[in-house]
Amino acid sequence: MTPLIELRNIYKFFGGLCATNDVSLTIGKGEVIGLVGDNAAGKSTLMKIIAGVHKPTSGEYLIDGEKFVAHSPRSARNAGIEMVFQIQDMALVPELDVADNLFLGKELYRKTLGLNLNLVLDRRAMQERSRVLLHELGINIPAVTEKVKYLSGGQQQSVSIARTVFFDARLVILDEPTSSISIKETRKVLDLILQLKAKGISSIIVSHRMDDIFTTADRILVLRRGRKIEDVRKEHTSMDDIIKKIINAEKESMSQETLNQPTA
Amino acid sequence: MPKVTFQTLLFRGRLPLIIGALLLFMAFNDRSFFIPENLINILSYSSINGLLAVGMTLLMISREFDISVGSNLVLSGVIAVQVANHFGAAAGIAAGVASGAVMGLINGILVAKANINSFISTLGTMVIFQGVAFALTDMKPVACDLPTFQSLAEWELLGLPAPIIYFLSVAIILWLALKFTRVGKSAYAIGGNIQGCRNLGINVDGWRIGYFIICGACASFAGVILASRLGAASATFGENVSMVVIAAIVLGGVPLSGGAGSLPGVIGAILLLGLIDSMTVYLNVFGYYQKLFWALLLIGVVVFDVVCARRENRRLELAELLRLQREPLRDNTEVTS
Amino acid sequence: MKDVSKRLAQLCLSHSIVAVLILLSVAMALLSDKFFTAANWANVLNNLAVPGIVALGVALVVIAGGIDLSFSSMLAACAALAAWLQPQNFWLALIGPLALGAALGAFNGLLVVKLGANPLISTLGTQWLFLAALFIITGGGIVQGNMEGPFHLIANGRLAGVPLPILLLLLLAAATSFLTTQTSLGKYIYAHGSNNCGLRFAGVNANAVYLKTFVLMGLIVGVAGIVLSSRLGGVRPTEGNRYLIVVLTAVLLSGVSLNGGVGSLFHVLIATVVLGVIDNGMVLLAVEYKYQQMIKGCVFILAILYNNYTTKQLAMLRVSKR
Ligand SMILES: Nc1ncnc2c1ncn2[C@@H]1O[C@H](COP(=O)(O)OP(=O)(O)O)[C@@H](O)[C@H]1O
Ligand SMILES: [Mg+2]
Repeated sequence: MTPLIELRNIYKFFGGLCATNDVSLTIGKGEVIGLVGDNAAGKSTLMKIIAGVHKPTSGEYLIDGEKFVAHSPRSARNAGIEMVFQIQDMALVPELDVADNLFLGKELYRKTLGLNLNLVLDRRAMQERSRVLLHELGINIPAVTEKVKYLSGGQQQSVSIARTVFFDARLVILDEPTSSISIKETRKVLDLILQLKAKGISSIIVSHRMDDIFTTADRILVLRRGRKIEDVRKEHTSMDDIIKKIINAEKESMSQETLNQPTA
Repeated sequence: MPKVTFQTLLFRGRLPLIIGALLLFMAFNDRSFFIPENLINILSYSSINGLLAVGMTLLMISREFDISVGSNLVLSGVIAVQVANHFGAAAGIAAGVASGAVMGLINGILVAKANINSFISTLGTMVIFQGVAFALTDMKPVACDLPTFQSLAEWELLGLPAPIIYFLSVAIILWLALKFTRVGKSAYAIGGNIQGCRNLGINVDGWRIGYFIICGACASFAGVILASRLGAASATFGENVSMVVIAAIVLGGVPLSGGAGSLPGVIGAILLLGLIDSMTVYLNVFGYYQKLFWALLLIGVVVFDVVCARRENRRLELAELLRLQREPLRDNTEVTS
Repeated sequence: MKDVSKRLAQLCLSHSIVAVLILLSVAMALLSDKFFTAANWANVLNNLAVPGIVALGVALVVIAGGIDLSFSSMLAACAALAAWLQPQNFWLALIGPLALGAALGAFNGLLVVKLGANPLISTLGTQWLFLAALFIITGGGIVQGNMEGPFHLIANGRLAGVPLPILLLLLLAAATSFLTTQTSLGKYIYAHGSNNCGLRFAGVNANAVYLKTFVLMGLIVGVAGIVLSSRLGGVRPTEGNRYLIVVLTAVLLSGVSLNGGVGSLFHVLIATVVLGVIDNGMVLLAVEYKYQQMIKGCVFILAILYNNYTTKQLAMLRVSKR
């Protein structure tokens, strides 16, 4: 069976800085992947490559076994990849209201003169559906007509998460989704991932919280300085192991390097 | 270590290169262009714009700008002439320069204290200052034939006319201030990250008001010199100078986003614009070719900078990619050897 | 009851420029009995048609997070083209300026969007470029058109007693308002100004939106050029320059933020009318011409201060709602 997503030898540079160094990975259908790593390990960069935001400097990216050429968030979304960006990326539009943000890029239209011209926005329908969805997800927002800039960080994050659920996603990427939301909401997000999994939707969760990772993920990846240094099923590892991989990886790679250099 | 490539050299030296090319072109076309009188003339002509530009450089490094300098130039000239006619030349000159500082103060307060974007506030004060000049002069030119007033811009030193000397001295003072004192450091810091400076407890608003005052005072100094040279002032000239000055500062390497740039670059850009002016006169082409050249220069340099930065980025990426892809191979060879 | 008063406060604060217009009009009506006559208003609005139309276009670009200073030269170029084409063919004189406006807008758009140049500086460059090109092409003289025929009617005709330029201004204001509030392109324009990365992340081609905004502005300036040309008959290359300040002040006065993403096209229309009323008021009150500019500048700064104040109050009202 072809995997949903396959990355082959992906490199991504920002000028001379190598953010993603020769990463290859596959994501199966319905699989939940936990991605961990120190700060600036390149987790967000890798996720943005999958979501079409960044074009890799070199390497191949396949969706359903076919090359993904048009690197844009638009084509990634059309392919069923939805991403919740980390708070720092400010993926919401502050001057638009909650409903407008939820439907950004996938608006509903009213019929004009009895025809589907996709001309006039159907704000009422979008607001109604937003209200229902937010209620279902138990997200507490004062009104869907509130501008996003007046929401708290946690509320904004909840809105981003809600956005991914709206449309028929096949892969949901969550970049540090629980970094600024309450414990209760965190539970909901983790439940949501499990619900998605039950529906056969794959997801990737990036987090610093081992609990989050271990309650949801089937497979765990560890990134370090842009390199993938671990890719194991959850059953074959433990929290301690993973934490060691993240923290002690330095010593390990040092010893690797010294092994490789006979002169040292 | 950053490698010095042909491209970075081209990038750094683009203004000198353009100036060199233009001079070379003139050398083939019209040797008389290079007689000292003409070169001094270009310098002298550029020194008014130059004063405006060096005055605004600090301000632009701190990420603000002032489009009222053109009106400031006009109004301070008018004030200098009128005060000189009533109270004597010295009072006129002092009043002219002081009025510019006050105009700078007003702009500074509007931007730093009332929090109005500097584009908007100085657009407003531009209209107001010119309006005040209209009201003061009844929209007619005003003249001052006091010899002492006119002597402000008459004298020469080592063959250099006074405006050049004024311009160079102000430029040197500001260059020193920019390079070696807190005045300059704060400008770079505020332009780079204003919120950070606030958090560190730097008196951001005070500095910004100060830069506006410096800018205003320089503009009015230029206005007074101009009035003294012409022996008159009029509320209707000096329109659109501000935009030329801002363009020159950007050409000279101070980005609109602030936090970078230097004074020599700005002076180079001012000289370049003066050179183009003089060339169009010398070649006797239609006056509007001068604007055309300025426009092409401005657009060209802006686009060139962007494209250069992109290509440089691309080059770095590819070089690093090659290095990384070679690396495991090198490890192997070292092991086997 | 409290809710109603809060609603009212919100309404007043979010339409502060309308309040300014009402206050000014009431003051003028008290000071001069000529003010509230149909003839006077027709006169005021008729003078506003050209800057008003241009301001609508410029406001779109500013809302999208950019700025376009080249509109003065674009306006002159479009008007000159219209004047040149008009004796040859009426329809060409309509299509030509629109096409030229769109092309010049696209040129600005390419510089800003594709090459990533700063909009303020690059459109300052194109302002000079277009003007210089116009000077060189026309030789600096007047481009003379006919002073009769259907083209002449555009600026001088009336429909149901209302001068056509006023109708055109209102029509365009309605159309651009519709665009910005009811269509997805309008929503994207706001989104682009507020956070273009967010727009891109959401899967919208943000660059295309930005580019379209510049082209749209060019088209709108083209319309203004046609009206100007029809009104003047002959067009000088510098004809657009005197609209530079008026248009910028109208756009900024309306509460359109230079940071992008904020503002309303309806308010832009109202702000243009406010400027017209001030002009008209000074004439009616026989204020000496030499004082007029000073007064205009002071009113502008005061209005901006007032605008900032109401925006802040509005935000406070919003935040305290929860
Ligand atoms: N747009 C960008 N431009 C330049 N450098 C970037 C950009 N995005 C990320 N980086 C750099 O890439 C590295 C990896 O960043 P990131 O992927 O955000 O790490 P993580 O999410 O694992 O903390 C960091 O060193 C960061 O500075
Ligand atoms: Mg991250």
